[in-house]
Formats: sequence, structure tokens, C-alpha cells
Amino acid sequence: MNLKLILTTLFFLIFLTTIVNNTQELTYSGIIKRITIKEEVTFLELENHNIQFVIFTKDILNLKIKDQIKITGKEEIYKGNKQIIVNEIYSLK
Amino acid sequence: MFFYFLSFILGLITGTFTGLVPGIHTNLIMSLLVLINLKINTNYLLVYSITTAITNTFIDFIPSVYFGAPSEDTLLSVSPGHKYLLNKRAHEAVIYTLYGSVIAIISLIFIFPFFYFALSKIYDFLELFFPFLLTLTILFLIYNSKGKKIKAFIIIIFSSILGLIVLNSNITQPLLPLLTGFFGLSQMITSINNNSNPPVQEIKKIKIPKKELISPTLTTIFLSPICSILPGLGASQAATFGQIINKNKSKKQYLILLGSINTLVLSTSIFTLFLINKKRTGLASFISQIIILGKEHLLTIFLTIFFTTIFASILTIFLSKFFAKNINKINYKKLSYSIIILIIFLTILISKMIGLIVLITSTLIGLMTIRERCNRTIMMSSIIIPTIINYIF
Repeated sequence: MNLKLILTTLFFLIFLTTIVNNTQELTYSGIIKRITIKEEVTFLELENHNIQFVIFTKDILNLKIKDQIKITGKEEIYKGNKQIIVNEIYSLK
Repeated sequence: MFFYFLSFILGLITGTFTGLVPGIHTNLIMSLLVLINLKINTNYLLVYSITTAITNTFIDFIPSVYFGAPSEDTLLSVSPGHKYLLNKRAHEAVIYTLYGSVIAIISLIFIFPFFYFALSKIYDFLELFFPFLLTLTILFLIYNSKGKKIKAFIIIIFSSILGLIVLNSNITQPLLPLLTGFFGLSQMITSINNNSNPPVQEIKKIKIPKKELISPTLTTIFLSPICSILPGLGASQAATFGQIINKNKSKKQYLILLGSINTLVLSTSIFTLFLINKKRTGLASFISQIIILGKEHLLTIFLTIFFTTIFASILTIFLSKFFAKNINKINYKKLSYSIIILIIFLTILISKMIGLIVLITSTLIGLMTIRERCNRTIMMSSIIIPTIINYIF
């Protein structure tokens, strides 16, 4: 096998891993404006953020409107609209 | 009605474009559409996307046969198709794949009732075996790389690492740079380096005995639904399995098989989305982002597939004849350079600079696979391995 090609590929894989680890998740913080629960999915809206946050559970651990929270998650597009698929929520109370 | 017709015509044009231009896949067009976020009736988008994707599966054998520039789905057709080209019979090879595509659409009539009544009922049970079946697929791909098992294993490791990084990142449309590099850009760079002058082609009337259609049809009906249900598998894997099953069949039957599998995997993926809400192709993924499919869409889907088959068949025959007559007048090198620039531009536009790094890495792995003459479907481990891990953990 071509050693140069293998080493270059390895270099790019390591480089990519480093970049991805540094830009992995998006973080948002704000006050909960609306909570909608549909079947097994919870949708959150925050004040000052024009984006929907999606949590794939209906159990959202006592969160309620006006709570101040911090959310980390990944951006996805659903029906042409940006959504954040939530990985973690922290209460800032 | 006028807008349905317009969407259909635009779909035919786009599908012809993506089919003819190597390296530009319909997934790229779908990614752009999601990015643009058109505020138009979703039914028109549904017709447009299905027409585009199905037309693409008919047309994309033309560059594959005439220029040796396959897409991800047609990559296995290079060898037999190219032999026909060198024997001045490229048009014949394209017509065999066209037979396959038409067979696929007819087969859909037989497969759909099974999908409709059984799939949602047995899917949960089948899902239990997915990690096992996908692992078997990987082992099979290594086993099938005769005399190059270690090379294939190394490429699978590289592809899987890249897949794991990319699919767990927040890169926009991550599959775009990943698959374009693996199957598009790497092949185009190789084709530029292998500057060949094909002979002037002959156009003859082609007749296929009905019994020669039986074996590829049965193989397609058996394999395509499996590959459109299992995550991470697609037309290229189905074709690899088909190649093994039809080992002793003629080149003619093999080309028919490739055409049929390519079209049927795509068509059944629409119904997989409708019935079990699983996105197994770029088309299904796009549809899921614009519309929630219901029974009310079935007639539109079937009519679109039916009319696309008729018009795409006519287009394929016409374009194949055109290329047969004009193959020496086309500057493939210049065309390839322009497409490479376009792909890089679109990758940066959609997936940003990080997408460009993914594109470079996947192109390197693609080049490695071509250089080592390994079956390029092994690079699909980039999707299969993360899927297995996702199921297990």
C-alpha cells in the first residue's frame, strides 16, 4: 500500500478529530418561554432565541415556564427549519 | 395541475443533469434544497424530488459506461460497461441497465403489497438482528476482497473512523462531503489521470430473450427490499451481493441486475419512509424533512414513478445515442476539472470549511481504494460501523 497516502489520510483524520472535538456542541442559555409535549417528544422555546429545542423524552425533570436554563445540543434541519436536538439541560436557578 | 407538471419537468431536467455529471449526486441537490428552504407546496417538492432521484438512477449509467466515471450507486458497472465501450457497444450496455431499471419499477408492483402489509408488523422483530446482519455484511465485504483482505481491512478501519467522526459531529449535511469524496471526487481524479480515448461507437437494435431477464429480476426482488430496510446498506451493497449470487451469469444479465437494483432500492426507500418512518436513502431523508408521508400521498408517488419511468427511459435512449455518436467530441478532462471546482464550492457553501476537510479525507480514502483495486463498497463501512455501534450502545 502507498505509505504516503496512508500517512496523509491519518494526518487528516487526526486533524479532523481535533477540530470536531472543539466545535462539537452548541450551547444556548435563556428563560423557558413555552413547553409543548407531543407523545414522546418535548419541544422547548426560549426567550430571545428564535429556534426550537427538541428533547426525545416527555419527562423533563420539573422544568417549567420562566425557568432559566442552559442547553447543549446539535443543530438539525427538520421541514426546512433549524432545530436543536438537546443532549443536556442545566438549570441555572 | 400545472405546477405538478412543472415540478415533474424540472425533476426530469435535474435528474438528467445529476445523472450525466459525474460527482454530482441527487443528494447534493436535495441538500441545497433544504438549505434554500423553499416556501412552496410540499406536494410539488415531493413530485420534483422523486422525479429527480428516479431519473438519476436511469441516466447515471451513461457517464459510467461512456467515461468510466461511476457514481456511488453505479460503481460496480464500470468493468462490464467499459468492456462494452471498448467493443464499440456502449449503447448496448446502457440499454441493458435501462431494461433493469424498467424491470425494477414493474417489480415494485409485486413488492409494495408485502411492504404495505408486513413491514410495519415485522420491523421491530427484524431490528433485533440488524447489528448481527450489518456485522456479517462487513465480514462478507472483507472476505469478498480476495487476495486483498488486509488492504480492505485497513480501508474499512479508515472509513469507519471517518464515519464515526463525521456522523457524531455537528457538520451540516455530513454525508455530502463524506460520500462525494469516497465515490465522486476520488473517481474523477483517477479518470483525469487515466486519459483514455474510446473508439467510435456503433448503434444496433437490441433484443433480449425473456428468459435472460428472469434471474436478474428475481435477484433484485429478493435483495433490494433487504438493502432498503437495513440501515447503512444501499444499492452498491445489494449489487455486490447480486454479483456473488449471479456469478455464472452473462455480462448482459449483470448490467440488467445493476440497473434494476439501483432503481428498486431507491423506490422502495420511499415506502420504507412511509411505513416505518426510516430514512434509508438521500431521497427518503429529503422527503422526511419536507413532508410527513400519509396514504393521501401514495397516488402521487405511484403516478410520479410511473411517468418518470416512461420519460426517463426515452431520455436515456436518446442521450445514450447522442454520446455514442459524439463521444470523441467531449473534452472529459475539462469537464472533470470544472466539476471538481463546483463540488469544492458547494461543499464549503453547505458544510463549511470543516466539510472541506471531510471531503479531502474521504477523497484520500477513495483514492487508496481505487489504487489498491479493492471493491469500493467497503467504504460504506463509514456508515455501517457507526450504525452497528449506535444499535449496540
